[in-house]
Amino acid sequence: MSYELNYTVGSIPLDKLKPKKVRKNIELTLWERLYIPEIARGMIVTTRHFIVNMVGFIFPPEGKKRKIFTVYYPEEKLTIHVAYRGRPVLVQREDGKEKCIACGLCERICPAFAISIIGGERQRGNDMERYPVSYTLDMSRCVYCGLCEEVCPYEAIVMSNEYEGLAEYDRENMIYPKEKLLVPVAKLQKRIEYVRKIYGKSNYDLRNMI
Amino acid sequence: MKKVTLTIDGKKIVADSKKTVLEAAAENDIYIPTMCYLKKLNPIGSCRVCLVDIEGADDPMTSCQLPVMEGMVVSTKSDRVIELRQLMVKLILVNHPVDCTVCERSGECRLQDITYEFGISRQDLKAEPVERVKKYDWKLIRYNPYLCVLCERCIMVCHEVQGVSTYKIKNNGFRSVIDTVDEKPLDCDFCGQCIAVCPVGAMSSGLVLQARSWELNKVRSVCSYCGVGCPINLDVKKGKVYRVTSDDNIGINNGNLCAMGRFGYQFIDTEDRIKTPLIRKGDRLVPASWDEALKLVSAKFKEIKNSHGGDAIAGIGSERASNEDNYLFQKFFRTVLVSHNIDNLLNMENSSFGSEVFEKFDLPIINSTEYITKSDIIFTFGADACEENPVIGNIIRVTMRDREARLIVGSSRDVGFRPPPDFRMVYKYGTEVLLINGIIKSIIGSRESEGIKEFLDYLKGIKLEDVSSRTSVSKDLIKAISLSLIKSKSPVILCGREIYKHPRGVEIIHALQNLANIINGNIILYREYCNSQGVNDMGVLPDKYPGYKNVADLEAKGDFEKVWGVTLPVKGRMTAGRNIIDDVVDGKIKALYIMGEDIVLRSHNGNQAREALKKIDFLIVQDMFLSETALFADVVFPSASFSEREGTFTNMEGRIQKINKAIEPIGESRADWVIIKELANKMGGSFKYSFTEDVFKEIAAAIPLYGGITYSSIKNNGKLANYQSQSKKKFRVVQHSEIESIGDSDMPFIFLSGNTFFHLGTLSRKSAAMNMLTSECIVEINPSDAEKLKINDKDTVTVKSKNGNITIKTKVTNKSPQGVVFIPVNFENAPANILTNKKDAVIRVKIIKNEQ
Ligand code: SF4
Ligand code: SF4
Ligand code: SF4
Ligand code: SF4
Ligand code: SF4
Ligand code: FES
Repeated sequence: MSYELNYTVGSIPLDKLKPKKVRKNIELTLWERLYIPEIARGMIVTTRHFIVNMVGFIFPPEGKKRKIFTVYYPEEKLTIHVAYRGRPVLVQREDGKEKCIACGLCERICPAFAISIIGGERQRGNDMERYPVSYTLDMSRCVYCGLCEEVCPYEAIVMSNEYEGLAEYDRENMIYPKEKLLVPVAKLQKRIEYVRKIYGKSNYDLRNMI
Repeated sequence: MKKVTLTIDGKKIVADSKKTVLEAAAENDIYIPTMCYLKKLNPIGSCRVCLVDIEGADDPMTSCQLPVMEGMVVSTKSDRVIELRQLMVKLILVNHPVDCTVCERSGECRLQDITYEFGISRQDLKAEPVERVKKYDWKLIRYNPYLCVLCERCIMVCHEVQGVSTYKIKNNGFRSVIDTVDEKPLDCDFCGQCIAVCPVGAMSSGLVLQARSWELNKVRSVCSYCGVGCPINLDVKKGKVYRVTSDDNIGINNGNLCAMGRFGYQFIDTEDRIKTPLIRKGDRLVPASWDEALKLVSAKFKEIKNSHGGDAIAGIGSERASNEDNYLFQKFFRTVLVSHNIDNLLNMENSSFGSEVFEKFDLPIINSTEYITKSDIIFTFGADACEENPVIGNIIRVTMRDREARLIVGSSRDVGFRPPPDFRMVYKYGTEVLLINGIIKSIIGSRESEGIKEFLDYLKGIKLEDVSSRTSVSKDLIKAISLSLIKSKSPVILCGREIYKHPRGVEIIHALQNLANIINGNIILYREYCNSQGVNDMGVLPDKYPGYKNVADLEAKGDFEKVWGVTLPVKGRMTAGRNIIDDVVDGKIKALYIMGEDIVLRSHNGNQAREALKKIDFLIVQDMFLSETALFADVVFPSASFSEREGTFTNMEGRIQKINKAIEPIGESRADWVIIKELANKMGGSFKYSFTEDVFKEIAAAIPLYGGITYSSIKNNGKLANYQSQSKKKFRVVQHSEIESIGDSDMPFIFLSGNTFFHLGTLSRKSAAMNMLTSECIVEINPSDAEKLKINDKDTVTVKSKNGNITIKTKVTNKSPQGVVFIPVNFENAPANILTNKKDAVIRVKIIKNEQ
């Protein structure tokens, strides 16, 4: 079968899409093959860093906390930028209930099939409102893509700045029930505002969204 | 039929003169968008989305209502109609909050589809917001007026198909909303048809949909309640059934379901399901492993078989279990235990009925419901078409609408029909044969047929006055009914529970057959449960092999020995007029294996059933729930529900339909046939079936009725088994004979029992939604009787017969004629079967008012 090569993908002509061959030089020189000198070279680099760091830690320069940039985790932690995508969390309203209305869009969009929702209804004022009776997020599947946050019409799920304590010895423990996912809205305000901007949700009619 | 020629979008089309433009276009693959149009309803014409331009007409017209006319030139795509259609949808959207995120219908919403299809992305109209009241106080159905597009489908389906006419449009203009006619909370059949037809989310189920529509996987199945066998979809997601839906244009129900079918699915995963086998230890049933339980049963069976013979073990099959289950059940008894000791409850109660009516095949009783849809007169006799098998009621109603068919309702209770039937007769219970003969007498023509001479001679002796006075049906009514029956071209006679449970059922059927012969009609007999037909076909009968081959027939014996590869016992144990329970009470049976029946509540003789269960040495019950019967058991096997397994059911038409596996079995429960297979293999049988299909293959090979049908060929509409009656028209002389009545002279009421609309068998009692509709058993009594006894509605009374008494609330209603009381069966708190004991008798009761 022969293809006509004159059509394009997007605006790029197809023949331009042909992969270029990259030549890898895997032949080592004799010096490199001797091995010992190379190891020594590596050790020197490592040791130099170690000593500079240690000296810098014990005698930090005047005015500065220290000269070097390594963060001494877990004693020290970075300030995380609002754009960082930590574990997804559910926004908890001021009245302690979840904001989520169990619309199922996040469940649908999640590329890792990490979310399962069972919806239900509860009384709110004189009316009924829909809410997730159960909302489970399987953190062993989540790929931190943030699509759930992007799709959510109610700003009910957002990516938090939490990245700690997520590893477990038992996969069972990585299935997070609703209770483990809820985070008070006050703590998430910055991210919510950021999300509004980047996803153009700022023009949403937020009047009925509490 | 007359044909007309018209042009649609430049295409020449020949169509029936009775068709509408929309239908003619659809037949020719020309698409016209619609919103309120629904095939099963008469055109409503409220949405105006289907507008088309007609050449020569000033204004566009709604194609769903417009009949085709000769020479018509239609344009479906002119700029003007496209713009107008868009405007129509925008007008709807102006009042419609776009709450799709929380709306149940989102994803299957007609308004969503149309908005998308028309590419409407901005709204340039505005309207004042109007306050409306959402209806949350109705049972099982909710109405959200904000979402309502006032298409009127709900009003029409309730009126035309369900016959209840619950709804109306309240207010007018942009304030219009749907409300009940009396503006009180909904009180109707709760069939949910209005939910099913609502194009948007305005009518929604009170059982809030916990999943979203696009996540649900539709698994085709069959309703496991009554004998109609409506095809249903089980909507499942991640191993849970979230709702039951149905499709229009499939199966006999055309998308209609009754309350039980639509809302009664919750029994599937209630907490009460038995999850592991149970073994009796002292007075408790304790969980055990399958291996333990099967070992125990097989050891016990072997022991009894060796010491007392296979005949000391008996089995009761189930009207609710699939064909495969029942087939293997009887095969297990016949080949492994070498005993013909099996039966089903229906046959135990009224064995002569089964053997006369079904097994001889000379009565064309099992007929397709197509006879109803093609008839011009429908005669229901001894049936409550609205309540017994509700979807048959729908079929009748639609036939009345479409063909202007007339309806005659005859019953010993004033069951009526909606809309009111053309003729209604309430006869005295026990005088059915006389009445039918009376009708025949006033029809009689001169047709040559076998037996007609004797029959005519017999009729000479009947006097209509006499018939009228004894049956309490007036002579004029008999004459009027006869007259309309003679005029009919395609009459159909439906008979129901009253007949197949009747002590004189066989005679009544024969009498009806005489009538059918004369008027050239067909008879359709209702069946109570989803597989009442199949259980008999499969040979769960003490004296019949599968396919109604006589056990005494040596040729049949040889045939089955070949199929099954064993030597079969020569004769059954059964003596006429006795059943398994009788023998248990007499101590002749040591072990009883009950599959999927609650004999305490379902046996026609409740006291005797209880006594038998107390007496039996070893009782095995195979059920989904710890039923009243299972409480007596020594071993309980948990069986899987219809949604957790495959199989086939045979409905009242003899239609074989397939159920499919939607979810995994709950707990350790297994399909009935798998349990039987394992048990048989443990006892030395060789049941080599891996799939349900293997069992069905054997059924099709062994039973000529099911011959030629392959498992994979059973699709949406099922397959009709070969129940063709072989005989030609035959007349029999059927004489009226008095029925013995049991009860003292101070027991003035005739006691009748039956099923109510919201409960059938014991399953519906496990569904919260059905219990919400009725959870209490009531006794129906005529107002004048009630007045005499100084009883009011909802009083607590004791109903007493010679056999026992039950305490129960009253319902004063005209449905019960004077001197008759009616109590629904299957309520564990008021088991009506305690009152009865003998099948061949009318039970008389008295009613005593309880002092508060
Ligand atoms: S972040 Fe991505 S992978 Fe994780 S739950 Fe959300 S959508 Fe799924
Ligand atoms: S998208 Fe948002 S509102 Fe919808 S279910 Fe997910 S978290 Fe809840
Ligand atoms: S009825 Fe349809 S359009 Fe209206 S809110 Fe529901 S899904 Fe959306
Ligand atoms: S409730 Fe539904 S079916 Fe009834 S008029 Fe409104 S939109 Fe139509
Ligand atoms: S549930 Fe059935 S009977 Fe009740 S209003 Fe709806 S269509 Fe009518
Ligand atoms: S579909 Fe014709 S008016 Fe609604």
